[in-house]
Amino acid sequence: MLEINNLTKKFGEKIAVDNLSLKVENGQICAFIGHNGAGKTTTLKAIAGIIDFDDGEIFVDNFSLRTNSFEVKKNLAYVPDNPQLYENLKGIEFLNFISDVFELNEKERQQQIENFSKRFEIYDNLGEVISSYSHGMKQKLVLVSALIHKPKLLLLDEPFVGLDPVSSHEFKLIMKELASKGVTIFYSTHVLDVAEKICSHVAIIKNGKLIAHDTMTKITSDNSLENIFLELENEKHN
Amino acid sequence: MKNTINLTKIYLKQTLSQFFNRKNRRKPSINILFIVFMFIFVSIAMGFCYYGFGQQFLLINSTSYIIVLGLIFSSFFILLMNVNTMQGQYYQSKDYEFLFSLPIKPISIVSAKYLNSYLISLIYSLTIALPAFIVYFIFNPITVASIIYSIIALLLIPTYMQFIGSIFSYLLNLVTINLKNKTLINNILTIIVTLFTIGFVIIANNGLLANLFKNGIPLWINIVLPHIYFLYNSLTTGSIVQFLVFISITLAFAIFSIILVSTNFKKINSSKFTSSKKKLKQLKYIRLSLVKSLLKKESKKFFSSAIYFINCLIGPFLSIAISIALALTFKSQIANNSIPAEMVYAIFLCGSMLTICMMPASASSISIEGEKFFIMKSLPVKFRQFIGTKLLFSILINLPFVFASIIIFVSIISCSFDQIVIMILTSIIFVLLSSMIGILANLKWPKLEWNNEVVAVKQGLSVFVTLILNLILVVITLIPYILFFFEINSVLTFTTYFLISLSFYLIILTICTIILIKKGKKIYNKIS
Repeated sequence: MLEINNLTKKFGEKIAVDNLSLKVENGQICAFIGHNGAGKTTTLKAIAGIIDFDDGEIFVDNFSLRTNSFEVKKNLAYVPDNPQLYENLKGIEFLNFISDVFELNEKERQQQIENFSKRFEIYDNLGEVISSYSHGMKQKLVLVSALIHKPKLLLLDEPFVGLDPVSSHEFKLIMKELASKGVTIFYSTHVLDVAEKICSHVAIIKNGKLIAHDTMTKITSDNSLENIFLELENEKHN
Repeated sequence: MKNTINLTKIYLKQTLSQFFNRKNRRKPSINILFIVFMFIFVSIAMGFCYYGFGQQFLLINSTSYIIVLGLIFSSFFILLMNVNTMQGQYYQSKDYEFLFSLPIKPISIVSAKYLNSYLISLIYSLTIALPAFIVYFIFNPITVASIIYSIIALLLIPTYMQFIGSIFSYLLNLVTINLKNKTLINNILTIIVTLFTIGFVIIANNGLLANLFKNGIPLWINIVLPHIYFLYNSLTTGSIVQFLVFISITLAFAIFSIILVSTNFKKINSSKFTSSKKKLKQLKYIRLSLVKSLLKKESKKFFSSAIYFINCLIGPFLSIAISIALALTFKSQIANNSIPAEMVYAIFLCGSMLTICMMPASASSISIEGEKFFIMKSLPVKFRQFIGTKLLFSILINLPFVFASIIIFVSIISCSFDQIVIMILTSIIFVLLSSMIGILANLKWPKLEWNNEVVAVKQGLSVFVTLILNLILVVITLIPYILFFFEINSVLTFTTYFLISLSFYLIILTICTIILIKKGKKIYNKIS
């Protein structure tokens, strides 16, 4: 589903992502972990088509991002770490806008919006303006908007930030359900124990370079993901 | 197309919400009524202004130039508006990341942004240009062709200046993107343009307008604003060819704007992610006193908020323009003894106080804190330190303008030493008093829940109350002196009268200070 070949992204002199290659297959949940400034968000933004990259190639569902970004975007949903919402819209207006963009018919959008907003417990707030939402409610709204059009690839940047325990639990269930239906999930996180529980795969990035990428069981073996991550991080300093 | 329409609706909603606070739950009909009222009010004011220009143009038998002037004014305002808004819409687009992760073509996004900007520009354009067309038809014969041309022209006027505005804002964005105080630079540029406009109106009203147009439309207008040139020709001659050229120019620039921006939209917006990381600066650990630290916080907030900055400083800047205008206007009249010098001093003081002190920063300094006010409240900062620094900052930003306007005024019109001293003292005390009234009002009526700074700065009750009280103070002390000048002057000299006014201000200031000390803390503690 997601194939990144030799992705390189520079910010002036600084190489933010350095020759990164990885593949995430259908139905996999892949955690993307690394220290602050390692290049996680840059990679996710490059996949989502938000920023151009200097070298390499990205394929989503066999569509090249360079040559066919529009088709790529039709198949994915991106949830940023700090979503900018149109504060003056009502929740339902925002979701209708997203539904229009992905050309969902009325029945489909009603079904999807009701399903996910009820699961995230914001259904009753959809008639209110987004500016009146708490940070957590806004995060839930963004997650609902990312799910309603049934994307094949979910790109999530720190998706659990701001979610209450109930919603966080619900979202983990949703992620597993989607993965079982063949949806690919590639998400960045610092919550390693959650990643260890729900992810089938893990990719670790350090200073823009991919230093490990495999199944969770192979990476961790009989150790915890936290210990493995710290060991790999410390290797840099030694 | 559907995405463009949906996005345009969203942007329009956002733009309108900047004028109206949705939390007020005010009926939409009232909001619309308010817009219509403002539109009519400004249009009538502009109409009178154009009528005055028309009288000037009558001197050179060229009343048709009213239309040129109206179009220049509207173009100028559209340009100003677009330079400001397009920086946020096109070049530092907040929703860029969100929209670019969706399958929406850049041309749809840019078209929606353009349409939103066009509709807002159209309102500005109609407010300023429509009265010019009406006054034009008062002075000139009405034909069917000129009416049809005018209606179509009013709809198309904004497009050319939108294009120029997008180029200007792009250049401004390029210049200021890596500057530390980019907001400040933008604000200063806005104030300069506004003052330039005011200056132009003053000059135009002083009889220079007829001179400017005595040899026909100046060449620079034909070159820089070709749409005005062709529209003017088509209106005055009835030429359909000239009108078609006008339509072609305006439509071509509209299409060109959209294509140009949409092809570069990603490149321009993603450049904010790709700018090279700044070199690590040496960190400074300088300890400041609490008051200095609070003052620094106040100034950072003030200079980084466009709306706060412009709202509070437009008056002081205007006071300098007024002091120049008054001094130049009355200099010869004083020399001819056609007006008493003391009356001019009083008019100057009146104008200066009205402009400088109408919107003291203190009147919205608590509201502008928003939810952060409660963070401040949780810190070990005493009430008098918190309020005192806000008061001090408000005074400090106004005083330089007081001195500047007095220096300019007295350097053009000679005054005696005691008159200068009394002018300085009166102005200083009035600055103190207006700031004190502002802080008391804001303490009593803080507006901490807002989504847009406009609500805190312009729509708070405290700002309104401060405005009214300052106005009353000026009216009851200065206006009687001007209105009953000869009666008062036969009993009291200028210095004596203003010493009495000064004493009155000091009494009010003392009362306000006592209220602040005795009741202020209680009110402050109650804010929740």
